[in-house]
Amino acid sequence: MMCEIMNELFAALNQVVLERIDNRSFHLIGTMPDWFGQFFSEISTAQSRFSLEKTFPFLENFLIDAEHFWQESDRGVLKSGFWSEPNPQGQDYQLEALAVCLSDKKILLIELAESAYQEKYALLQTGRDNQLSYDSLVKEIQKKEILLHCIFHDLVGQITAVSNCLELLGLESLSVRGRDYISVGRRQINQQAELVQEILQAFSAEMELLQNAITDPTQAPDLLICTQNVVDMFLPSFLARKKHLQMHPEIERIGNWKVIGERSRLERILLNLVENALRHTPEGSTVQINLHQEEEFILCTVDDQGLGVPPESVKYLFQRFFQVKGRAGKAGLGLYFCRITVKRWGGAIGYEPLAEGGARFWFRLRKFELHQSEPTMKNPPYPL
Amino acid sequence: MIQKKVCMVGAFATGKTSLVARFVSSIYSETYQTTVGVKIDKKLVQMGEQGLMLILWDLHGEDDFQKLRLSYLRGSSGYFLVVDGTRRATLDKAYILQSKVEAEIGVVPFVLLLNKTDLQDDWELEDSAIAEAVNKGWTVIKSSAKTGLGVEEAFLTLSRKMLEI
Ligand SMILES: Nc1nc2c(ncn2[C@@H]2O[C@H](COP(=O)(O)OP(=O)(O)OP(=O)(O)O)[C@@H](O)[C@H]2O)c(=O)[nH]1
Ligand SMILES: [Mg+2]
Repeated sequence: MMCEIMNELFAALNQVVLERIDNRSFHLIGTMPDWFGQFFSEISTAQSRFSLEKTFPFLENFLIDAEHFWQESDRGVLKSGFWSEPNPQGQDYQLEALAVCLSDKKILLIELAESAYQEKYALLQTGRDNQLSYDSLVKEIQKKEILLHCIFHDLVGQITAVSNCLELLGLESLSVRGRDYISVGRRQINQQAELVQEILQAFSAEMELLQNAITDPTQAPDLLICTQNVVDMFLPSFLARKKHLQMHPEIERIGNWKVIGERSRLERILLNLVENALRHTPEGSTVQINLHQEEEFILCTVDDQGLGVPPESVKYLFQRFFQVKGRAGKAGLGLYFCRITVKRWGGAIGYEPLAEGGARFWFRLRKFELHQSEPTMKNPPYPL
Repeated sequence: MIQKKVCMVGAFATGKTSLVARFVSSIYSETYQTTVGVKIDKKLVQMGEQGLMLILWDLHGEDDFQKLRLSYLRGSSGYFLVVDGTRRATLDKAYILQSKVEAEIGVVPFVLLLNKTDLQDDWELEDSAIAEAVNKGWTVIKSSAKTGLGVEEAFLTLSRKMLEI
């Protein structure tokens, strides 16, 4: 009675129980669930000896691990992980195999992993969908930031030009009415300029972030930590390409490395520079990052051992949409982003060729002094 | 008939499953359905006189949620490294995975697939990055599971390389 129930039970749970007989085949214990039979269309289901390897390439591989497991351990379970495989009719089944040792018997369970699979699938799908949206959002933000900057830059340029023209015009000998027109025009253009400023400050969360970062000492990013993060992130990529990435061994680990800026953008700047270096440094060579304390600034350099930037291209390097022919990123926005961001923080960025060959990209950012409560921004973010 | 095991390796959402679906069943779907574990498919290709049965192991993409089980690679005669050309980081991932795979199963033929070439506006791989792979002696093919471009070529190229050995 008991035995009969057990035989039915596993089939009811959509599990196949098999015992390893020899190197070739398995013996079926209990009743065979319908789904399993479908994989063996040509064999009568009355048969109880199976060779699984031919039907399930996945199991062929798992059985190598299972065999080790059966030899070596007398307890526990070895799981294959989920796999999916179409039956001869082309219908996909999600399965999982388990190897178990039962008093010297080598037992293999194969289960139709419907709900467990669905659960794991739902979790992974959500995680990955979120990761994808996050990544594209970050990309979009960077593009928007640049767009915003460009619009702003162009607007301000034109407003300033018009304003200057009106001013010059005012110096000409004009009729009283002419002067009135000019003063109306100048008032309007000044209002326009103020409006542009206001709109930017009100609507750009970026700007707010920037202000907060500067006045709140806990928010000031630590350049040493950011650099370390970026190095850790890139190490595997460098290794995989047989290139080296290191921080200069003489960088003082103690001391104040806080700078005026904002952490995620600062890491993006470093990321852009290190990614460029990775791309251009040849196999076997080293990219080195160094940090220097200066009086008011911290200087960061990223050196590679590539060919360097052709001299005729250097002056365009940090311009938007610039590409060294066939070399830079498609959009050509990376270095431009670095420049506008560093400048906005009152810093500077540049390129110089290294005497021994290779490229050096550098930027300096104003130190965030610990006692400092007011921002010491000598240049406002956007000078009008 | 000769059988060869081929693995699809690459970061998540690069198009591994879509490439297999395009090649095996000539279908394509815009909806992203991530692979959990391994998905097995088979496809018979005719190589001149010879029939070659490809056992395709579509592996889940590696990320923080799921690490690649290296034991899945055992017995592979070749593999595809799949990159999403609109996400530059997936190329870095491909380099990392390539060295892991090679450490696990040794040197076997593989093809670097730069997938999603139909998305030219979002393309993030510059020619120098592609040249770097080519200079290492890698076979690089641009593909699109969506339009089918390069897919057949990729599988046939790898099949040919596997039979040469
Ligand atoms: N435009 C375009 N989209 C593609 C292409 N290939 C795949 N996709 C889309 O990219 C997404 C991911 O494709 P999958 O084939 O599931 O990717 P995968 O590499 O198998 O992903 P994981 O199993 O999660 O590792 C889906 O939304 C596909 O529709 C392509 O060539 N062009
Ligand atoms: Mg997949």
